[in-house]
Amino acid sequence: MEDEILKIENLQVSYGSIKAVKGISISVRKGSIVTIIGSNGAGKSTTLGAISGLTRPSGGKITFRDRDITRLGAARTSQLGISLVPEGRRIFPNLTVRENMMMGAYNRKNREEVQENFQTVFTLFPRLKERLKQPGGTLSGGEQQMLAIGRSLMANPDLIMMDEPSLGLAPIVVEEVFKAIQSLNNKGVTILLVEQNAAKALEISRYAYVLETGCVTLQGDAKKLLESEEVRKVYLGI
Amino acid sequence: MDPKTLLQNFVNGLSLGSLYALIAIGYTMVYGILRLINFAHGDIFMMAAYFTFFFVTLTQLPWYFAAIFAIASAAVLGFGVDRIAYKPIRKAPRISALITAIGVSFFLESLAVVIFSGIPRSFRTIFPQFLNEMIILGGHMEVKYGQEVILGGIRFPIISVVTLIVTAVAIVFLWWFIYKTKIGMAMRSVSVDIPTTSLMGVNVDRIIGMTFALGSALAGVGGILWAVRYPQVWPYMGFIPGMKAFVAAVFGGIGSVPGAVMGGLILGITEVMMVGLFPGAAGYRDAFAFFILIIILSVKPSGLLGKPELVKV
Ligand SMILES: Nc1ncnc2c1ncn2[C@@H]1O[C@H](COP(=O)(O)OP(=O)(O)O)[C@@H](O)[C@H]1O
Ligand SMILES: [Mg+2]
Repeated sequence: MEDEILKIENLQVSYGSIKAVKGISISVRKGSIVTIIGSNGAGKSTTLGAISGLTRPSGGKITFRDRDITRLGAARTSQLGISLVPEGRRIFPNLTVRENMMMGAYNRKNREEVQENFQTVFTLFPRLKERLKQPGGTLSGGEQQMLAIGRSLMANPDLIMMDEPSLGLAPIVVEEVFKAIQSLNNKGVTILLVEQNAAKALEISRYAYVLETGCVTLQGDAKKLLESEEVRKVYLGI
Repeated sequence: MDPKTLLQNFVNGLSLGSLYALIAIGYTMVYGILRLINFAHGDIFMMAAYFTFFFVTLTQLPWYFAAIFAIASAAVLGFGVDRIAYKPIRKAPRISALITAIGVSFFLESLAVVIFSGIPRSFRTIFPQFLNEMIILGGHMEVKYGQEVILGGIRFPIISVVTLIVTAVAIVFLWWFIYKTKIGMAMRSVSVDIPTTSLMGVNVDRIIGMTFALGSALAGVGGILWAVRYPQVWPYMGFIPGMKAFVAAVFGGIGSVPGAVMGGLILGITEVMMVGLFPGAAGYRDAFAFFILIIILSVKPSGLLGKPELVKV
């Protein structure tokens, strides 16, 4: 595919003797939202961890913009333009909101562009602006999620991966987060989403994968999956 | 203790304590990031004193060049120790790192004996003489044996006052570095979450190396001041101050920089006061610090400003 920004081929990841991901292949097109759904322990976070360089794959190949990033490590991968919003938000509790965002912009050189990014994030999440001087640890769960997304935007990434961004949030905040994801995508950011909230995620996605115990069991057009018998029964509970 | 002696002891204790604080900061910063007690820290303190000594002796350049050179070398040495000894075993169990730290400490001490010889060398001529003279407040002039001498008054060595000032400047610099620079910010984020920091595109190993360098530079400052105070250098000079600074760091709450400063000051003052009150117990002054350590560990292991250790999931 020409406009393929991320390609995962036969990815395998093990924790000691436990095989968490058993040879999956995923493709993400530039400018799209792609979702991975699957129950707890299916290997979704492990997959994102392998792409971002936090976890070393035991086999397979990961290509980002025609470049092999399989064993690059987290820092280098992030510098190439992949940003992960980790499961559980992972805000730096001892750093202020402003510093958390500055951490996202750690390798940016152009101050003016960084200032513009601050404005972009404030437009998306106005509440963060009021909290700039507060330590990250004092924010509510929803605000922390906004900060986690905002922090990743500060790197100006080409691909953002989000690991269960709606987990544990109040319904109104979930709405806000999903709106933000869509509005980012409209600006041209490619998004790889991992979600428990399958209905909402599939609604906004172009393509989706279903992961079960480390294998892709189903994949296809998000709208089609949303209508498929299997997905409706297992993941939507209808 | 009369008020005059009390004041003298207080100033001397504060000055000694500020040296403990300077060293304790390095222990606590490394612990805050790696949960590692870097037992080689006291030996970097010693090395800085030797670097100063040989720089002055060999180049004949003034002491301030030597001090800058020695502090920079201590920083490089700290960085190097991390690279060579600790980085390769970053993912190993903590006990391996601890044993390595003790090994590095023995290595540096033995290296110093081999290179510099085990004989203490006088530091007296290295720095200006006036540092070891006394500041005298009050007192009265008398003529004895045909010479004018000042009797009475409150006295403390100039080096005590200089030590206090230098330490204060170093701590302000450290505060600025940790809270106002980008690298300082990364040090704070590394201390809470290494993987997430690396997700920000930060080379975590470099930040850890910088932490070693910064702590070692402060130990270097301490080593030079120490050598001026007791004017000599020898390969094992870092052992006792290093151990006491470690006690100070634990006392203040290991991982906390303000805690290390507080712990150092309190330890220095109580040590000098104890010797002042019970001159007969002066021989036990080193044991005293470890007695304090035992008490802290049994009463409040997290120290004055430390947080109780959270078990990492
Ligand atoms: N650090 C780890 N060590 C050992 N096993 C792990 C680790 N992380 C995840 N696993 C295991 O790998 C499998 C996949 O986990 P994960 O990728 O977190 O799933 P998901 O994100 O889909 O819930 C699970 O069986 C989990 O227990
Ligand atoms: Mg997960």
